[in-house]
Amino acid sequence: MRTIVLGLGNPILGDDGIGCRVAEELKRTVEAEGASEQIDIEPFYRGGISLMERLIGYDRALIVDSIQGMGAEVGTIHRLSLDDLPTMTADSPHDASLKAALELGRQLNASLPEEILIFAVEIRYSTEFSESLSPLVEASLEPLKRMLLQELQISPSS
Amino acid sequence: MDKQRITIDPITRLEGHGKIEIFLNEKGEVENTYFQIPELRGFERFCVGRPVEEMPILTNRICGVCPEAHHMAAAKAADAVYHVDPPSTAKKLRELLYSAFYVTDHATHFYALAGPDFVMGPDAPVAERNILGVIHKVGLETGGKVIQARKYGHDVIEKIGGRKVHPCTAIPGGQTTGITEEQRQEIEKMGRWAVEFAQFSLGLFNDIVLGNKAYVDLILGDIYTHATYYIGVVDDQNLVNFYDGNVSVVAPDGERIGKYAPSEYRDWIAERVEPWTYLKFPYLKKVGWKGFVDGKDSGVYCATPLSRLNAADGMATPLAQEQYEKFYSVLGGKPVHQRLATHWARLIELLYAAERWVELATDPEITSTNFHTVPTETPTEGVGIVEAPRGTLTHHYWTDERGVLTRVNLIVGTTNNYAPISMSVKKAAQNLIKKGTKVTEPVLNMIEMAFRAYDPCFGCATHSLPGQMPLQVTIHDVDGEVIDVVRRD
Repeated sequence: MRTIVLGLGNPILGDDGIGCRVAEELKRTVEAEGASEQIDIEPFYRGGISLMERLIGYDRALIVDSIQGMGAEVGTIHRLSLDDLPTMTADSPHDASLKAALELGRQLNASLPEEILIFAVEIRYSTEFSESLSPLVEASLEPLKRMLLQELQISPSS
Repeated sequence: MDKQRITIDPITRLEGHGKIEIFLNEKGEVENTYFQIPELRGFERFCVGRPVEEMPILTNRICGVCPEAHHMAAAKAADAVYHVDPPSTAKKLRELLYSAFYVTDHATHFYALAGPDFVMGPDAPVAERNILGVIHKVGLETGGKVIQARKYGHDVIEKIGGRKVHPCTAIPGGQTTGITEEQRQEIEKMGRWAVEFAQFSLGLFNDIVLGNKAYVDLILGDIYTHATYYIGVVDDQNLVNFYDGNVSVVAPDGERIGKYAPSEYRDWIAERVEPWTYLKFPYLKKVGWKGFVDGKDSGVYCATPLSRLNAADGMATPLAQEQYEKFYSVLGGKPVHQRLATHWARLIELLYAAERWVELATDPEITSTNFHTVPTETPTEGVGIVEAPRGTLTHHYWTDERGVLTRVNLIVGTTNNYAPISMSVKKAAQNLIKKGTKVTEPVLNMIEMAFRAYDPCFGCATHSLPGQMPLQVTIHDVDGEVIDVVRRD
């Protein structure tokens, strides 16, 4: 079974970069454990149709992103399914929402993952450029990594 | 004064989140509108102290939609900082990558963003007004073509730019790598397919939009019309060019009032500050700021696909030129002021980009290994301008003698259009909301269409998932009491 883990975000926009950060760190751990053969892990910077296109060819996908407006404390990690995301019309990046893009892909018989899980870290919206995470979001990094490793059924040796 | 307030927040089908506030007067008519956006701040400061050669990599992270545009503008600005003229092959490789990028970008915009309004109709049920509705109507095969066009575009970007998403091969003086003959052949083949796809898309527009009187009336109607200035990069024949040239400036009556080189942009463009928004409003310095009004005395200008066509004398490729002539013939001559015609102009640019892709892929120089000139001059200051899909993109850098940035100024594509977008929103709202008008979802959508034509891209560097952010319109009475809520879940 081929799995992809994508960490979404912008690494120069503060807390929005949490997905990219965790992808980089998780990749090192998974490679150190020798478990990277069936698992691809990478940061990813686009949403919508581009994101759907990147998922083609995998059986399972774990998507990590920041999220706003769930009402939880900053740094809270939400484990979500696609059904937990807003509808196709309300959630609208530049091209199409992820749900609409996935539906489009399925209609076009693209080989898309059967299972897509979303791990989202609650952030407050920031409009300031920065390469660092705020303390509360930084603190979510380790628990988030543990959750992803558990999902990948990898027990780090150290 | 008795006023009511309508808020559209956030705007759907846009990168980033914006907010429209509509103030009604005591008669229930639109008195004023404010289009507010959360600008990403501090990028210029963030760059200071970094080597200028990092900018083509760094700036393409500003935007999740058009990193290629920032990569190109940054590379050209860095060339200028080092006073180095890249070899012809390097320029052609950059333009080839850029043409392929334009095909993916414009195709996605038409089918995912503009398509829902025109293929499904402005008042179609909201659940159908998305790319799935469009594909359902025009056929699954078309959806496959859109995905294929994107795949080919991304393949070219990866072959020349080194990566699919954020290209990394443009450096001061040229490119880090060239392409092989085998790669060239693949790129040419994909380009020829892209030309057919662009023609197919124009055919679809012709059948579905131009073949429908209601849509043509909508395009030609007054609601979405503004007589402003237009700017766009042109080559030395005054033909549209996305990568290189001078910026042509055309008045509302079609007269070209001048052309400026990238290094002269500050003689032409000034920026207006308004108290209600962080983003500045660029305007033509030589004409002056007269407020949010159109006409020859107002320095408000527009920089979009429609502007590029208006600011040029034609297209540099034969099939696109045919379409250019048809465009002005059908719409009654130059310049065209109807903002919804921007969608048609974008498809003509799609065809031009595809043709240019083939031209460059078959250029004898394209596989040359002379793709870099080593900079030898002391770096100082430089400006790079390209046409981003959403408008003229200007990067201006200052460095010390080591090439370390001391100052950065960017005018991004959408920012050019902030004043005309604000005007379009107001005009659409004034036309659509009269006394007693029930502000329904289709009415809101038709107001949104006023700015969707500009394909604006605000606060576009973030991909955070919106947890619970439906489109919500709240109408307040004079005491701040909510008297109506229109919600799009």
